[in-house]
Amino acid sequence: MIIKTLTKRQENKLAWYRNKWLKIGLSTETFTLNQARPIIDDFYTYILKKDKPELIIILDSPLSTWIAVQLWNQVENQVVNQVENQVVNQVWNQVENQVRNQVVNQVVNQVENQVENQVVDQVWNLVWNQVENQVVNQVQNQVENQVVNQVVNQVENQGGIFVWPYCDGNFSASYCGYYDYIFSELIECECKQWEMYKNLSKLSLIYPFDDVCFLSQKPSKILLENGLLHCDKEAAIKYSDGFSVWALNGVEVPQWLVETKAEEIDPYKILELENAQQRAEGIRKIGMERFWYKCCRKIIDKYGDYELGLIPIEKGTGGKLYPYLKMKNPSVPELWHVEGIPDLTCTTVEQALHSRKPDKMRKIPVSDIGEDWYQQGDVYVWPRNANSLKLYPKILT
Amino acid sequence: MKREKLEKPVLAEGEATGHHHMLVEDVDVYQVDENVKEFDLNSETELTHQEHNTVVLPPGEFESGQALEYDPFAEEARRVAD
Repeated sequence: MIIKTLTKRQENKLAWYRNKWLKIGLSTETFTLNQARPIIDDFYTYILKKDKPELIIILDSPLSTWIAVQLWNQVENQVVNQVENQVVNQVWNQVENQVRNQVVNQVVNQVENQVENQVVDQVWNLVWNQVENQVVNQVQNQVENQVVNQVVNQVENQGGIFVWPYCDGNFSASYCGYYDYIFSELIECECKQWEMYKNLSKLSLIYPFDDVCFLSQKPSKILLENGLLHCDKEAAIKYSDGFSVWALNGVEVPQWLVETKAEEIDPYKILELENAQQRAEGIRKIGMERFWYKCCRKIIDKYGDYELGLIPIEKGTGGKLYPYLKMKNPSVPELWHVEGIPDLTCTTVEQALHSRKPDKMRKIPVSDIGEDWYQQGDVYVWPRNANSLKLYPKILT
Repeated sequence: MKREKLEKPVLAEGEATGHHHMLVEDVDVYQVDENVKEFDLNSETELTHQEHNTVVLPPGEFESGQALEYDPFAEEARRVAD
């Protein structure tokens, strides 16, 4: 019988599963080879349908694991083809192909399809969406969007091209939480492979090759504040080999921005950051007033919370003045953004705001009787084929 | 640039945050130019973001793009990366 609505009891259980999988996804508990061996053996035997790997190698962080994978792959390739050039792209392609072929195809075919078919047959879309909203999305926001995303960025910063493994153990918490709820509370699961797949969440990143399986330990520390990665004194994610991620209010930032005292930070160093969110966090740390006082030589126009100022840029440009717009984030009032204006000749806030629009939108005439448009942060949405647009957005958040 | 359907209805993704501007309905979004995406809405649809308040878009045919900024240090204009 198809399930069309959740009972009160089933609804109440959603939060329990959300918390359970958040805890697993954000776990800092290390595992031993003895604990990993039976989980990996089952994974190879029953899901990958392969011989158990002779060797399981556990590294301390995603970066050291990725380096080990690349080294191992190079050694293998040298044996196969001594004259082949070992350039990064080749390694990347080979590793990706092997992992994709061995893991994705098999896991997707054998676990996901079976699991999903059962769910699709028995659970109504609305119930599915409800579970997705209350379990998956919230676990995803913290585990994948925060921790995983920042770890990937940091490995790429230090290790170049990085292939995220298709089995990511406890980092699959949102996916596992979703099916764990459905199979524990709504329908019976007849898929033993699902139980084995779920067991992988006791581990972390997994690179399963034929003879060897590389595993990364979990972080030794994850610091979150209100669900966002944050620590204003040290790394917000730390692995035991020292690999770390620094973050302020959910934004991955350079180490110096966290570990330098606010009063010792050169505001120009913040201005040099290419990422707008990182700049905003830097400004939040040293304070907008100090930032603007130190950098802005002259304010040339004001409109509401906007200020258009001229900032002298010393490096390589001889102190030439450039227009910058100071803007308050409408959704997070304590957060200020300072962005360079593409039209270097603009003299008013109105011109500056117009100059920031995407090229295609900027070419559409502005008129009081123009069509409405919308802005969410730095994303603009406007009606296609509009003959004219109003000057300001109908909604700005 | 070839018109390409995106896997998810995401109008922009944050590099340093993992946050994204996303339509909550099952909407086909196409990348038509480097900084232009197209999509059609049959009914009111929410545009969500982890940090910004939700925007409710009316039905209609839309385009979207990201703000531009000038970086005097790199001496280049570019899309704002967040």
